[in-house]
Amino acid sequence: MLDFGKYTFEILISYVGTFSLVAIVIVSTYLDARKVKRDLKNLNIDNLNDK
Amino acid sequence: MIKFRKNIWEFANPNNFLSIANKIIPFFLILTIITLSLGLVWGLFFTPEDYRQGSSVKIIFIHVPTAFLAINIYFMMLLASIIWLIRRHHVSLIAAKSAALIGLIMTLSAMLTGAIWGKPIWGTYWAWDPRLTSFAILLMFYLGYLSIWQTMKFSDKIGDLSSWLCIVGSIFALLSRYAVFFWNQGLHQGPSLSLDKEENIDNAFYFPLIICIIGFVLLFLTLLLIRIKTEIQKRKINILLNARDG
Repeated sequence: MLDFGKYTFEILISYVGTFSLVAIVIVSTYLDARKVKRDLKNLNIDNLNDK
Repeated sequence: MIKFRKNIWEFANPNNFLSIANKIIPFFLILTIITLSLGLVWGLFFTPEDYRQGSSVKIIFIHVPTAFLAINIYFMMLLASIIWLIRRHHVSLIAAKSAALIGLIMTLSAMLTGAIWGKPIWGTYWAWDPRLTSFAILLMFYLGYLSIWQTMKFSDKIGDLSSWLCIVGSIFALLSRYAVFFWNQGLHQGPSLSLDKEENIDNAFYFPLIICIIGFVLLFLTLLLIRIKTEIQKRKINILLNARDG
């Protein structure tokens, strides 16, 4: 299915390379957002406990 | 007009920005998945081979959208930096900062796919062609901009410094954008998309390419909104921690 003739390797490496680079941004954005959400939640709970 | 001008600056309020971003992020995410899947599957599996470049032309569906974004993300950062320097809206500074990593990745991807495509077509991975060289310098500016934010704490002074760096780098973004029009001695061919129908690529490649560009732009907007939202929340945490610790 993934046979593009003479340039199969060039095409596949371009797509895989780009997807890998984009995946780095997606994963780092997701992990960062998750960590901040958790920190904000903990901080709000701490503030409520202090009150 | 006055009402519109008043409304657009309401986005500069972090709370207004967050409430709008929360509503549109899921919508953008769904659109991104649909357009990117459609464009890439169409381009990769349902387009013919080019009569000169053979199947290597399929790299266009990755190379053109990433190169388009690499340049235009920098212009977006330039606009946000100018707004910061003139109006001192923190959301615009955060927007420029949040876009930089995505811009860097798009530049890297455009250079990688360009090099892979260049070898069979030009016979070389790299040449000191005007467009390629201005892209390499643009990459350096992205790296410089990001390293300022990585090494120093968020402050207005650092915001000013990064904004001025962004303004200086915009010369190379302009060169990257327009080098193919006024420098004919380079290896890089003219623009793939043009308002002049004669210069445009064939319709068999044109439509999937447009869908891929829209998909990549939507991907950028989705990631940007999430990153700005996270950055605003980070600043909120710092304020809360400072208030708690006195």
